[in-house]
Amino acid sequence: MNFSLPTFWLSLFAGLTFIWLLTRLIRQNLPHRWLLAALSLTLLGLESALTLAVFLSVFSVTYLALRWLARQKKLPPLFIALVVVLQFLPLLFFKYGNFLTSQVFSEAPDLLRDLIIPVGLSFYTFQMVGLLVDTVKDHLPLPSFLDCLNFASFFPQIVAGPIERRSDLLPQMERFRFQLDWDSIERGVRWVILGLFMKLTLAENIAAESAAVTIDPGNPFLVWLECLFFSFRIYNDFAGYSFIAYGIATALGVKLTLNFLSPYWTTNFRDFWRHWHVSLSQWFRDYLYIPLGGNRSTWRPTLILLVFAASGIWHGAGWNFVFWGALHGLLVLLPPWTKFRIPKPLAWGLHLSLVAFTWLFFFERDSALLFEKVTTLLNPMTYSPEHLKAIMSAFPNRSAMFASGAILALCALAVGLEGFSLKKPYALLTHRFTCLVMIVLIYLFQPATYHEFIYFNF
Amino acid sequence: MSSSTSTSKKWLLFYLAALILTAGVGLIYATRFEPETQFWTKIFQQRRAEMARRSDAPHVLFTGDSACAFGIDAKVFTQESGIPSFNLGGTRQMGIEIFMEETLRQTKKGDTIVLICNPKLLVKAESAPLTKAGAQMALALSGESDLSEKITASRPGFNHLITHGAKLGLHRPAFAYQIENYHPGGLVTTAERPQQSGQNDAFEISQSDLISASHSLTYWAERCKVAGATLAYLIPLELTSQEVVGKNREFKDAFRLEFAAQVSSVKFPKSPQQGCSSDSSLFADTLFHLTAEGAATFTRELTQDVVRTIQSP
Repeated sequence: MNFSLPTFWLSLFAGLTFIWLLTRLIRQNLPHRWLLAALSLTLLGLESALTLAVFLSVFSVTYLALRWLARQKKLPPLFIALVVVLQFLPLLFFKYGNFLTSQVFSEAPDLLRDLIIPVGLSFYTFQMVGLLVDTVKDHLPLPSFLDCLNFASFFPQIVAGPIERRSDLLPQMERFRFQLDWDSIERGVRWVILGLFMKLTLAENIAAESAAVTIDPGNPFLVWLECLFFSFRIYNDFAGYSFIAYGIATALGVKLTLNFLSPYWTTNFRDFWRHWHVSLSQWFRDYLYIPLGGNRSTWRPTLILLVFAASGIWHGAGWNFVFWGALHGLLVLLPPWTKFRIPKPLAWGLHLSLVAFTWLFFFERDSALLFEKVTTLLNPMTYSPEHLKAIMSAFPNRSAMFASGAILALCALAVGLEGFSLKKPYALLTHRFTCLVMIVLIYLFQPATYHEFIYFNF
Repeated sequence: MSSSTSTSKKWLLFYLAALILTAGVGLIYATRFEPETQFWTKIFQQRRAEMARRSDAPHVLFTGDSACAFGIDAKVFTQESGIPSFNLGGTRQMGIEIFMEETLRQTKKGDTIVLICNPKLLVKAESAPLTKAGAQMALALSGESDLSEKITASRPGFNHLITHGAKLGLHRPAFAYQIENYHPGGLVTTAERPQQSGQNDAFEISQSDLISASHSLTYWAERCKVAGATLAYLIPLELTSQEVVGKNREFKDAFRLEFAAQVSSVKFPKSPQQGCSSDSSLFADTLFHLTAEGAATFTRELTQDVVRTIQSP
């Protein structure tokens, strides 16, 4: 279910056209929610049979457990914990099996090597764990099988979030109907345009231009450039996906969580995590941080480090991700720059530099190279004029250098435009006239080949 | 209908109109202003004009990627062998379909087509669509293409547009080659001679790629047969560093024999120096483009083996 591929849009268009025809033929008693489930599962099944099978197994465990729990007068905590472990098993197997066994036995068994993670596994597992915990903890009624299925499989968000809560999404699934609401469709289309612009025009071109640059790990300016490239790439890639998901859901009359709220306009890490991948931050806060004691815990700093390390490992099976998460946890614990009476623009610059620096731990999987790059960045002696001059020779030719500069400028302009409407995020970028400009830029600027969304791997 | 709904409908139509208008502009750009397509279209038209005057006698038609366009001097081949010949080479970017289809258009019964291209260009999915450059060429040359090819052709891409814009702004040539670089007989040359150290990597091709390339070559051999022609494949000459030149010659010759065993319907003449040379004086601006002198030397060296191979039963 790759939103950047024409095949997805053709499949979606075919599915919706079929449903629209049904609504014209059968005006009353049309099973809207069954049709939604069928559409979601078909789109998921088109991804691969394994993807669908794994989803159905996690869903079955969740639903059967919910049914059983609903009949119990007293809920044994051990049983709930067991169900959560069962929900996590496919995730552990596909995503962490190779990593965990290779840490214990130095080499992973053949079965676990090169496993392909079923698309969306991390996201829907977390969403279903949330559903189970909310239902049990708040003694909420058991949702119907169909609503539960639609809650878990709602196609715009199943692949890469947002990770929705029962209280937000389930009621919308219960009253879901396919209807031709032009206002919602037009509003949704604007978010889809913004998402496609961020993915196809910005993230894809950043990926193409950065791939052409030869990074010398001993040159700090080039390592910073690599971090800058990745900072823009991952933001535009993931926010782009999230906005397309948000737009499709809006067009269908469903309101999802806005997963990004101009995160590069924050000035400290605490705020950053309130604006970046919002639904994941909320999940960790509500299902891990607060149950373990939260702000009242005497071990609060350790807890924050632990939660962020867990968030790191959620992103990928590797020590670099653990370190990345823990580093963010550490930076969350530090007082914000503004406490040091630093002017706000300078605080913003320092914060963004730190964010870019931490991305290094995210994208550099080779530990020796990661160590070398970090050492280079932290060693003031490496910031020499020779290294500054060497930036030019890192590009294959002047055209590539110019194109890299231009795409970075376009990314900076897009982030800059976000700043005009921080109270109503992305208001300027989803303005109708901006959308017209973005359509032109998407069409003319998108490269010939596409990369998968980065977060599909998580 | 509420006024907000009618506004929404109106804006949805505006978005659609913007999309269609942009596609139209992209299409006009691709066929009228895209510098590389413009250059190669002129070259192909020039060649068509020359080929229109060809005799019915069997010709040797060289075709392939830019290693062929910049590497074969057909006049030299004709002088050395006495067989009329022509160079119809294009570029890797446009893809094999474009230069092979163009060559088949010029083919007459009894001709021999000598395909000279990087073997990796033959490796592709059978149903793979045309590349952007290929779609643009198809549109510019014939004006006939389906909707998906038109869409591909009409999206120039960020890198291309920005670079083109910058070159225009700086009053620099939009493309590296000009029509003056064309020579009768089909050869394209360039005076650019940057310092080059040569390919350092060992030549290798996987078994699955070899099978895919074999399928592709078999398909083109069939097409040539239908046109009454014979197909031969020749490995192009590549500037190779001194360290790996010996090894790569061995690998390329082994590859040629293995390839020949897979595709019996195609002839495989030996490439001079087995497709590897460490003599940088033969090469122009890339590891595959030869200078005018380099092209004459390479053509002279391959003539005998090509003639012997194509005359063999």
